[in-house]
Amino acid sequence: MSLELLNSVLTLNNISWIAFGVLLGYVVGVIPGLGKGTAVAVSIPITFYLSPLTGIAYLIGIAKGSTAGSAVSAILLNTPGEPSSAPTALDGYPMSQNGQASKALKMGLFASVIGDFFATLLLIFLAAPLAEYALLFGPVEVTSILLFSLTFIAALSGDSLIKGLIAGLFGLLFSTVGMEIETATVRFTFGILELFDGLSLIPVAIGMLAVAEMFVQLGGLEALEEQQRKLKNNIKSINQNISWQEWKLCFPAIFRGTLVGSTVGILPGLGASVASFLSYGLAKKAAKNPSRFGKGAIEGIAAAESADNAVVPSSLVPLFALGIPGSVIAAILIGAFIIQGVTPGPLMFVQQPQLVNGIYLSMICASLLLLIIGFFGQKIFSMLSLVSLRLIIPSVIFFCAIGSYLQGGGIIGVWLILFFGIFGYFAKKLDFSFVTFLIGFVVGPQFELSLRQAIAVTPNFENLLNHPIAIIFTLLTILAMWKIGVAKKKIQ
Amino acid sequence: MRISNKSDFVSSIVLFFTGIIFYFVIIPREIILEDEAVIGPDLLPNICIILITFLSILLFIKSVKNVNQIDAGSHTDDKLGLLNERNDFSVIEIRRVFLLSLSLLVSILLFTYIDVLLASIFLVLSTCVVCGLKKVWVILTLSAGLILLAYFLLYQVLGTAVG
Repeated sequence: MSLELLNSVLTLNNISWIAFGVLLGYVVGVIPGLGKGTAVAVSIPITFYLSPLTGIAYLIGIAKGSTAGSAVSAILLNTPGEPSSAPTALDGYPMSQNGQASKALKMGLFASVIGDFFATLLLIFLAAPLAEYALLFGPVEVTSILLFSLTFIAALSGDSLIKGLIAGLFGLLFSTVGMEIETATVRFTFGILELFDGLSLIPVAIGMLAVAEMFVQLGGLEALEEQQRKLKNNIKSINQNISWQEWKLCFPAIFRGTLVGSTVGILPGLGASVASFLSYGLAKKAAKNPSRFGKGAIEGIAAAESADNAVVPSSLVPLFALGIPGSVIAAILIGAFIIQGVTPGPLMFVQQPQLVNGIYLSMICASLLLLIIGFFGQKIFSMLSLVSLRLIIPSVIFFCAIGSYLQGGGIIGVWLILFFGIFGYFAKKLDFSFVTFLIGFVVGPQFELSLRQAIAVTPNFENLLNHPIAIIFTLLTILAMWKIGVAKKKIQ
Repeated sequence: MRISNKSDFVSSIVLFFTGIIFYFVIIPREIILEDEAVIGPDLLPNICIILITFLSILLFIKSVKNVNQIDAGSHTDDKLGLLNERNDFSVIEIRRVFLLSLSLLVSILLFTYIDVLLASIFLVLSTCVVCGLKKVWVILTLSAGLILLAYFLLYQVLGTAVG
């Protein structure tokens, strides 16, 4: 690691923004109903005023912080800040009921930091070699890989394969709004001049993630307040340490969780919920006394949280190596990269190696800051989980409107968050995966371009035989759809 | 034949008609092909819409099952219903969503035709009311705090302006 790189990353300005990001993320994670997607989407406009490195590091800090923070409300309120923390609540809440909240929170934090740290190392070692291969791909290969990723994500997000595919197709459709580059034809603008440049990702993401989530939360205000009232009566501030015996129980669970989270994170579409539930299930299976699980087993928290947090850095592997977002955070990060004039993907390693290394180092800093902030702020964060959503929703909506105005091309940005807020609300309620929609929207322009190029270079079917990678990915797409479709039918 | 999943049934019909309207009305009107390009700019939108329409038919078929299948699966559905509380629509939720959307809409109009400050005040106050905040001092403190914070962030820290 060069001295120049250290100097560029370890500046007071950069570290302060990462720390602010982690802190903000932690706070957002603690408050039930506000997920990392909401926090990152609303924060993107701020990055416009920061350097590329600081802006990206700040957003990654938010994502890391909120993933770790969501464990707090899961443990104290039995209401996970995010769905991926649901398995944490299974053992965390009983521990909290038994007066061991402090211990549960500490284990949640330590497991989160360990999982996150090792997954960051995996990203560092895996992304660059993968990117080298990706540089060899032509339009036919890119089209087939994008098709595979989108179908895979659509198939795995939500309960229904059909609805996942519909959501992805709508994402692609909305990405075609505006002027088409090759023929300069204007599409779906309905005479609105501001739409000629297309739909900006930021208002779409803010609408689909933040505004839609606030709409959904409006229905559950009373139920959440009931949980908060219970916690207020039971809150105890006893400081407890984790014993060596408990650490010995948790180490294998953390190791397994990190491995599961990292693997699941690399595969597009699976998401943190799958990782945390899978890791929790494996920890239960491996336990000498599985009946303890669900009643306050500390290793259950370790397993779920390590896997949950390992997903965030590892889900950036496809983004960095191939330019394909594998998760909703990666999709939103593309927007931040574009604001900074950087195109994420294999070329980033060739054109801006300093930036990539800076991001890696910033991610390691974020892991350490997560540990410090989480450890020393534990009591304050516990109190934050009592803040009413009735106060949070007006604040989020207000800043959503400002953010989309700044980065969405003026008042059209606010119109867009209103439209996509309602669209996203129905998508969420009716189980049409908003993750697939957003990823479809983000990869849409690249997909269309490579599809056109692919059609141009392979005018007939025989030419396709010269592209074995494309054939493999096309076959994988069909196989994945068939296998997942059959599996889902069995579950239903 | 009976409907096994009401929301999927309604969604499939809405999506089917959306697909038809897009294919026959919106795409021809909104994508005007001036040159005979080899690969037209309407290629991807048409592919998307055709697939959405096709998938909506599949969703429709899936959402209607015969009576025997529903009876066999009814026990499981009850259990899932409890787990998927988040996916249920309630009257109070729909009303709040409608009112919140309305307050955003009115704020946009106030911003466009009157003033940015008035639009901001209206947005925060109306959102507080929709969320059920009752104490006047809480509403006023929150509104003043948010607007001052936004002013400080935009005008002092970021050096930009709204309006």
